[in-house]
Amino acid sequence: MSVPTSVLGAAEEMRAGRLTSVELVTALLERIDETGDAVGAVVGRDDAAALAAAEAADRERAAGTDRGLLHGVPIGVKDILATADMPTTGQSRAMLPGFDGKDSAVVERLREGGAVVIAKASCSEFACGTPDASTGFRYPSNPWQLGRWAGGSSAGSGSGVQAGFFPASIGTDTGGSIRMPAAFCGITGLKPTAGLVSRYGCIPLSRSNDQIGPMARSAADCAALLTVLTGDQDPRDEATSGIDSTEDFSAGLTGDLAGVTIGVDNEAHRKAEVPAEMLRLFEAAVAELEALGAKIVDFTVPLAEELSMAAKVVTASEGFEVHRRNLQAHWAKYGGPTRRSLTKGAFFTGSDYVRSKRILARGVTVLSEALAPVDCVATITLPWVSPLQGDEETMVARTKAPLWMNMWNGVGMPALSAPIGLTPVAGTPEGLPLGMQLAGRAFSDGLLLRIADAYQRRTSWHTLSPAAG
Amino acid sequence: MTEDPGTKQAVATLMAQLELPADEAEMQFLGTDFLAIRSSTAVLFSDAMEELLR
Repeated sequence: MSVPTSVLGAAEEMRAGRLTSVELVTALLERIDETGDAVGAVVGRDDAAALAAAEAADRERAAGTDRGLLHGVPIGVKDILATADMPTTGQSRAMLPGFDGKDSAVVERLREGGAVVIAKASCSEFACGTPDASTGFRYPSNPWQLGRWAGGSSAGSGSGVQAGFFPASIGTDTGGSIRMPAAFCGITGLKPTAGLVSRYGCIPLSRSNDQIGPMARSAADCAALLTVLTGDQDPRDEATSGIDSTEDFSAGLTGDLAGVTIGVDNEAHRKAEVPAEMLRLFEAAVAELEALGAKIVDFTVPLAEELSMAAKVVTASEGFEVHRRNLQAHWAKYGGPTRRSLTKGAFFTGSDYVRSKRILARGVTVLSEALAPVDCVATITLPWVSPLQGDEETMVARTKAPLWMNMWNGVGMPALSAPIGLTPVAGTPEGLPLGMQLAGRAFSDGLLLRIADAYQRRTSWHTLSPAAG
Repeated sequence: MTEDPGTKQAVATLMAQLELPADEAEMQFLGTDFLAIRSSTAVLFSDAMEELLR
């Protein structure tokens, strides 16, 4: 049996009657077992529950009910998102209370859409810090080269999709935590507009900047997931107030970019001293977008440094507020990098926080106006490749994402990462994946997916897997 | 890691007030973080930001 690696591929096979959900779930569970989960992507499983859900999906389909593109499709879920049938650990020995025995809003929507939650995906502890073996959880490694980091914080979502353990996963992103592992692992990931996806049942890091989104091989898969993850506003998450989405994101994927203007932030690349080999891959990707009909213009994002710093202050301050009591009670149970990262939030003052919130609020207006002439801004997702395990200094440095990443969380605007090639790296047979970030105005999620999908119809980087795998 | 006694004392006092039992080595790392953070926020209070928020 050929096991589909994509959401749409699985949906097509099941709709055609060539594959059942039980067969697919069984095959993927066997794959995880056979490989020993060498990449450390899976934190939790309930095989019986997954197979029961798959059986139910198959029965429904046999009875003539089709819940949509996710019907019967196995999905991974980052382990800071509550699941009623599996424990939620936050990948920590100092778990916060209140997340047992219930489904998070995104898991509710996945189940309503017929999806099968197959595994809890690994992550950085409480979605911050760097991997720390002392916590007892496995190091989240990269399928492109074991011993390299899969990226944070949605590590297992990135590595699990790339390793073929599940066709898609749900990640969270407070400053780049969907886009970084997507870039490092060579898959596609979208951080949606703030408020578009309910965060109920998600262990918070920053109530202002946390956003939840899809991670999968392709933008088309992400579109199918986002359609299911969005819907009516959720009174359990105030950020969704007034936001009701009825958009079918898959229907918006037209395959062409006529009339689309893409701003390229060359100034950001220059300031970050992006290596020449990465710039060559990026320029090749931009040339493909132009060939698809997009107009390419030079565009410098205003206030990037200020918005990035303000977003950092907000995340750090709010993260410390969330964990303060738990740190007091369970300091030693936290991993060293995590407690250091969280404690830094205590060093910002009240005026730093208020100032940052004001700058971000003003930044929304400034940025919205500045973005008027373009449909999105393109940059490299990260100007470096996945670092090696054990190089703690580099690891800590690499969690400090470039300016052009966390600022989009601060202003609540969408951003995605899609693979655009392999950067040559000594000691790797094929090189390591490089991503392109596309970011745009609030609620331009569908447009970003349309642009990435058009690019992926013309290229095959998103389908690549390591040869050894 | 900072060796500045004033910074170390300030961080130690804050950690004690917050009832966070950081050990000596962690305190030194946090001291470095403290210095970096206190200098990094200047960008939020620049003349340009004053103008932006006026």
